[in-house]
Amino acid sequence: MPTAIKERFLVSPFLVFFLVNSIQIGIGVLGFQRYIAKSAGYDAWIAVLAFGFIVNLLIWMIYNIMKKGNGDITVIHRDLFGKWIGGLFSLFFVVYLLFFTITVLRTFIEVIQVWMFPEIKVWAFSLVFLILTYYVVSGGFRTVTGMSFLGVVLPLYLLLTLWFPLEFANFRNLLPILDHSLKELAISTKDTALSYLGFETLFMFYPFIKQPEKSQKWAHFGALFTTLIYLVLTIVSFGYYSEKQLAGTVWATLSIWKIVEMPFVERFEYIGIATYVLVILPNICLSIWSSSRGVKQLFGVKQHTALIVLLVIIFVVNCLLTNRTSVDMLNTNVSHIGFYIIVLYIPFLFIISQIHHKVRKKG
Amino acid sequence: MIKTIIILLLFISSILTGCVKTQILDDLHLDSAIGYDYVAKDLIQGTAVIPVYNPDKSISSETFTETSSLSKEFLIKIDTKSPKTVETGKLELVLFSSELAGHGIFDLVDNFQRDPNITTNLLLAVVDGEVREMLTTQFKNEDTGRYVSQIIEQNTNLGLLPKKNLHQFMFDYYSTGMDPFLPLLKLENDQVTVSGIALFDKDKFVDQIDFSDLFVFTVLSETSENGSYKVRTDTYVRNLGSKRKFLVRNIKTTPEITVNLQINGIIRQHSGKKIQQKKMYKKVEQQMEQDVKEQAEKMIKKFQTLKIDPLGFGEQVRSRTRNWDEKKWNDMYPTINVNVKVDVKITESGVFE
Amino acid sequence: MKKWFQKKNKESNESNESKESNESKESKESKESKESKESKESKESKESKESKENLSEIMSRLKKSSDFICYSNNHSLNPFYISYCKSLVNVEILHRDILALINDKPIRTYEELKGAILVEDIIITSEIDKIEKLILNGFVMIQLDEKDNMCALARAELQIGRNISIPEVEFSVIGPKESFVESLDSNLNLIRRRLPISDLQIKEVMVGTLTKTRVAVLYIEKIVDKENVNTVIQRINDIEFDQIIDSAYIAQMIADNQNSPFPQLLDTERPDRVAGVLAEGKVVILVNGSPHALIGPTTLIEFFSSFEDYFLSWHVASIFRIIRLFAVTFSIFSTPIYVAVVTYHYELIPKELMVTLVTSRSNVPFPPILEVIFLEMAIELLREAGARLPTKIGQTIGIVGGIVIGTAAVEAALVSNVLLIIVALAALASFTTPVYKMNNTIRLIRFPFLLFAQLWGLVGLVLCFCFLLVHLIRLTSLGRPFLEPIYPLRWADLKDAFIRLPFSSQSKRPILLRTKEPNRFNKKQAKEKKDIDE
Repeated sequence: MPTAIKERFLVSPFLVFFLVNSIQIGIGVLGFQRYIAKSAGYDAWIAVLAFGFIVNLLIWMIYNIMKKGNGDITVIHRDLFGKWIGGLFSLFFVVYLLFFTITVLRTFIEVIQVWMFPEIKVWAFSLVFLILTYYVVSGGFRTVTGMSFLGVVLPLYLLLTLWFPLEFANFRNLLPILDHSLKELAISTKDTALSYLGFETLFMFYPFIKQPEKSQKWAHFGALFTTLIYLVLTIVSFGYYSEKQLAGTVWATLSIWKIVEMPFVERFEYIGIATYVLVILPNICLSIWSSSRGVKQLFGVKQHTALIVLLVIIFVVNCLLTNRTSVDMLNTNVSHIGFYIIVLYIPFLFIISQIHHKVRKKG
Repeated sequence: MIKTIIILLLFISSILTGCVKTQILDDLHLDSAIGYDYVAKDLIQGTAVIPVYNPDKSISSETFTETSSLSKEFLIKIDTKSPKTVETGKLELVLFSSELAGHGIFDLVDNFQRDPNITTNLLLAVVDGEVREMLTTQFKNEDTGRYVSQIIEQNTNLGLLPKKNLHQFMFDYYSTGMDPFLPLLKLENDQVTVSGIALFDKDKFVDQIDFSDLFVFTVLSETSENGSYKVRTDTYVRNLGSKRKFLVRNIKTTPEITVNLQINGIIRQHSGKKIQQKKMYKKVEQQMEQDVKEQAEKMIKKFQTLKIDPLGFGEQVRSRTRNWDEKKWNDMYPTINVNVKVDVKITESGVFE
Repeated sequence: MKKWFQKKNKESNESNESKESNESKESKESKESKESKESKESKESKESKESKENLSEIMSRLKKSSDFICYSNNHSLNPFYISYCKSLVNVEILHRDILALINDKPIRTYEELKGAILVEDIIITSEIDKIEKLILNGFVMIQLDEKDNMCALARAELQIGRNISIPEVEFSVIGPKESFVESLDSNLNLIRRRLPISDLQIKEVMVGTLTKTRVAVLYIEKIVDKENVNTVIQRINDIEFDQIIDSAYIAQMIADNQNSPFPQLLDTERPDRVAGVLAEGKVVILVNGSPHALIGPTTLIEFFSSFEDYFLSWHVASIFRIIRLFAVTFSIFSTPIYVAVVTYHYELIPKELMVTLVTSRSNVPFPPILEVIFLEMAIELLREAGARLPTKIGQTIGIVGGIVIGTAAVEAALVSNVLLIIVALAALASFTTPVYKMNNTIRLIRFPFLLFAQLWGLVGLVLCFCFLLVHLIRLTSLGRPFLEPIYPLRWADLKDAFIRLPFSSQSKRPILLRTKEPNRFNKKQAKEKKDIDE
């Protein structure tokens, strides 16, 4: 298996900022506020900060693992655990990424169904979206990165719309600060984790970065920017909604957009949802690229074939998820698995790789 | 080549079959206002106003009235009478009759909150009298729904009314230490007027504030930048900007709340004796401070006896207390001490002396 | 034939794709040289087959054509045979500089002949192919012995062509008013005069099995990245087609992605622009018979920058560029947004605007999409008709058609007047694009947007926009990213993209081109900070 990637497929280190940021900012942004406020109430913004810190720690670990290995996660797994057990771990990772993609796409279709077109056909939208995904991913990692870059830069204007709810915001809601126990905050931190998922794709695309050592700071900046966006959004929504009101608001961010009125446009949530296609696309492309790359590394098939197979799987599963409850279930399960992958598995891998490295050094 | 054809075929198939229901602008009846009257328990009379845009650019409105037990049912019933689909996406205003409001309006309002189609900038108001009568009145060359909501908007901009839309109503309703309130309208001689503020205990209309107290209430409830106040009989003061500050003492035991009110104003009209400017300022300031204080304290006493909290004293105390106990506060609320301190500053009196 | 050509070109494209990295250059170069060797070999084999022909055979073939003249003077002392193509030869030169000088002198050898004739370009050869080629390019063949293959060829080309006129497509109010003409030599002259340096190199290639068109590749040796030049020459050499009539043929045949609606090479008729981009380190292709030069590698943004931008102060130029980009966005998106909003998202329309929109549409019997397509078609018709008619009639048709049809359609309540305004503005906006080819592309890509807007409203619109974005990200121009400097993001190149900064901050050549000499001038020397009153 060749480990060195040809130079012309590599991307500049600073683009890691956009890669990390674009995959972290996903469908969760539209309605995470309710979940994080469930246990820690309006102190949950501390949890957002706390997990932002943890994410940076995890990224540091990922970089340490990757620097010692020579290749992506599948190669590292093979080196550390042998062909079979390592392969099993990698397979699990690939399947997780696949389900991550399904969740994101299906939840987005759910949003469109609830807010815009109740009668939109899941299969039709999935099909067009997946053809688009195919078009991006078949262009290679550079195209995926380009989409991530534009997927961060173009929708940035949405942040400006957070100005409008401030007119109605009452930041007294946040007081008194630290009115919840440490345990409640910890649970809330766990709930926050779900919105930060996705940066574990770093495991797959690390070898595609030009001078990867230089990119570490950009990965951190990307995660910090995510934290900042989440923090601002959390604080604005905590000021905008009273606590019990937020508990009943499923898509808090979308509901905030409803208040935006400009002289030439009202009801900004429609524009927001439409723009969100640009945010969701890189999300899906990057994770599908990662998992198809993983399949290629594991089974030695062409990435092109793997991509088409995965897209068909996504399409079929998407069409099978017909009602709200199954989408919700998928969401909770995938995010739980994702949480354990990033919080337990990454440190585990980190320790193993450190030990492995030391032993080999002595030997 | 085959690949391209397959992709194209997939594309075309999804485009042909993937169409969603269209809502073409001119094939819709866009509801601009809805009003609810009380008929009997669990039975309401709904009135929907639909603007009709005539090709000669004039606007008139059409109203539909139906009686039903559910608000959604009422809309469906209207559809049976209307030549075009009735859509609520551009709804601007919802009115409740005072009688209906007395029985609680949460279920109705909750409906609007749930519907993703409806804006959170929706204006809510209570009508003193029958809503249907107000909505069926034709006001000049204007759609009734738009006309009434413009009256509310205009008064809000002038600072006469505190700003209240669907979101704010729900915000107040759900927040622990606060009760909502809405503007109160009245139809007099075929003209809609703002007659005061409707006070709510949770979602039930309990009492009202008259027009004469409106200025004081507005100044107490938000940072206001407009509005006029009549001092005694001879002076009109325009508010340039008011600030309120809450001070809470003895939080642990029995809280004591002080409201510091600061009003900057200019004299609009002064028809009393011509005296020296400085003296006049001082006099008006003192008189106004005294009047506002009296009115405010009387108003707050009334709130306490009604056990309602439209000014959000509970919220002020909650945000200053750890492990706040809502129940304990509710019991304590009628008895706590609220002081109002008013500080008026007159800065101008016009360009002629 | 065509299919085969495409296939071949595709292959070469693949090998030429993403020349981004310098490191992988070596491997590619070796590949290229291999390929070019192969193509040479095939050509040689063809030549050898032809050279079996005798000169007399060619002569007899040529003589069939009535404009071919072949005669001998029957001077016993000094016999020679002259043959030439009447339609290609300047008779004055023939008589004054050739016939008059050799008629009376005794000439025995070709060297003597060469000395006797005043024409500077005389070739003595016996290569049959070359002889045929030169005769068909306006040379006069002089033979001393009819049976021999040896002959002398003197240039007596008849040059007929347009005079240099003012640019019509890329007209500018200020700045030079010269534009290219059909003759390659005049065009080269226009460029050489602007860049009198030895580093300006011109490589000429012959393309087209029938037309034998001369194609010149121009670049400045010490600036340009050799890889770009190699790519261009390689691709031009790979072209297998019978006729090359215009530079547009070349542009399409050497494009990286031939299925893209976007032009991937910039074409211009302004020699000043060509000189400007040569100095930036780009490669220019000139084709004989075409008044348009091709420039590559190029970027999307460059299509929206008029060369006039450099003649105006940078603030003005920047504003104009932003207006142009806004106009393009408007002309692509305005009608699809109208369709999306009126068909699906009436909630978005502000209350105050509602009256205008509803009343204007109230009598229109069609859904918005049909209304829009009807009007767009009308506009396209006017445009097409205007372009085909002589200028004066065209203008009249445009005005009459526009006003009459527009008003009538609104009065007949076939379209709403709000839409009429939008469509007319969109059409107007699309004309601001300085490059005509891009202008056409913008006309085209509006239609898929309309389709998607009708399908899923604003979501469909953004989906279509994503397709466009991905296409642009994937697109390359001579192996360089087409969307640069947006992606890959290059801050330094943004100085001359959406806005044009003053010349003092244009010290670096575009990074995109990977030039050998990245600096235009020494910035430090040019800009020394001075204190007040110093």
